[in-house]
Amino acid sequence: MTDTVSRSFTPSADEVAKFHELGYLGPFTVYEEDEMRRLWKRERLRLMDRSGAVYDEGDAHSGNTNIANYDRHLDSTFLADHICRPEIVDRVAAVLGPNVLCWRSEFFPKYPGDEGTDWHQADTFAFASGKPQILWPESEKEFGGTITVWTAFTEAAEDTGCLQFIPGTHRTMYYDETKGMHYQPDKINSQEKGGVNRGFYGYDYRQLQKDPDWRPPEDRAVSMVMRPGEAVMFWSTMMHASKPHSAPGKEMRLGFAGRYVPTSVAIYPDTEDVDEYGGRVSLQEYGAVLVAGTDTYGHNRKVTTTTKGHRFPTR
Amino acid sequence: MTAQPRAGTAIADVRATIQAIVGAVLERDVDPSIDVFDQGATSLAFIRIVAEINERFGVDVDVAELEEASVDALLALVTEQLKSPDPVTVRD
Repeated sequence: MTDTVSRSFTPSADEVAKFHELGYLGPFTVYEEDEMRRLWKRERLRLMDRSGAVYDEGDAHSGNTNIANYDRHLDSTFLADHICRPEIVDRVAAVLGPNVLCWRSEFFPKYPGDEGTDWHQADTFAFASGKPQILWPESEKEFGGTITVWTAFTEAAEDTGCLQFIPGTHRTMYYDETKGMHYQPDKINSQEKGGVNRGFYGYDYRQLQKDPDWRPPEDRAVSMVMRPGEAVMFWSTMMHASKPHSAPGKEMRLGFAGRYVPTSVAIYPDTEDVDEYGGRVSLQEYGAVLVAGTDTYGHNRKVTTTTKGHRFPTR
Repeated sequence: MTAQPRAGTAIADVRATIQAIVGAVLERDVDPSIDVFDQGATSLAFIRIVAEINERFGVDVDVAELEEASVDALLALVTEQLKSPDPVTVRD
């Protein structure tokens, strides 16, 4: 076994304790900056080949979102290896336990002039689709949400749309994801909230607030400034947002998020398709990926290789 | 007009044509040695660029064969295809 294979990125007990306190860990390095830039230059071209993608583009695109770009780790060798990187999986398993599934990946592009993203929390991910996308078992009801690992494929700076977190907010939901939001793509890039141009891909996340008069405690917000190749791991239930891309001369900001849950969680229960952000994709070819351990629950359909035949390197 | 490209000709012409296509799609002058994604191109714009190059030269550029999306890299791929034993045609 080589050093590369055996090397562990498991965080210390103190780091795990800090994660539980704050709701996030990082930023940490997944790729060196030069390597990330070189890889992304090549992979953004490879990804234009959608012949192995599991979702049709037909009805998937609306506003500034194309949900057919969900889960490209199911066809791209680079992204398949990325979601299984030990730098990521060891950290996730330190929190979720040894048996971990990756159930979703998403690109988060921001071009110069794009609005920031609303403050939000996600527990079941029903906020846009109307149906819970992940369900934790009754016995673990105090948990919820997913661990998201957001990797900066390009620079995420204060003026190019870096993430913002409000530490310690992951144990209380200030939003009710079942309330429903109105999809209004004509509002994209046109709304100021607290003096910042923000939106939620055609939705207004404030519509889900349990208390309409409540305001996020933005004075406690911290910015996650990251070089290309750095990542941050956080609970989706922690209040998070992103800044607008307000630097016309700078490159677009691209984050790539992998979302992880333990094998005990049911993914897309009783659901045949995902219908959100004005688009719809069928889950016919979907499968979750076991990135660490074993799955003794069998709740979820899984895949062990990409649609191009590349095997996911399970830890 | 449809014509076989003459060997050794036209590299400068091919480069100029590719650069013009890229410039027209991006609505700006581009540096041929720099990846067009670093010069404001989006994925959709790049797909339009490749489609237009394929149409203009009668080639079939496979973007997966590119290491980067620069005019120079596109030129190398187009030139290679124009020189192949199964020649393609140039369309004006």
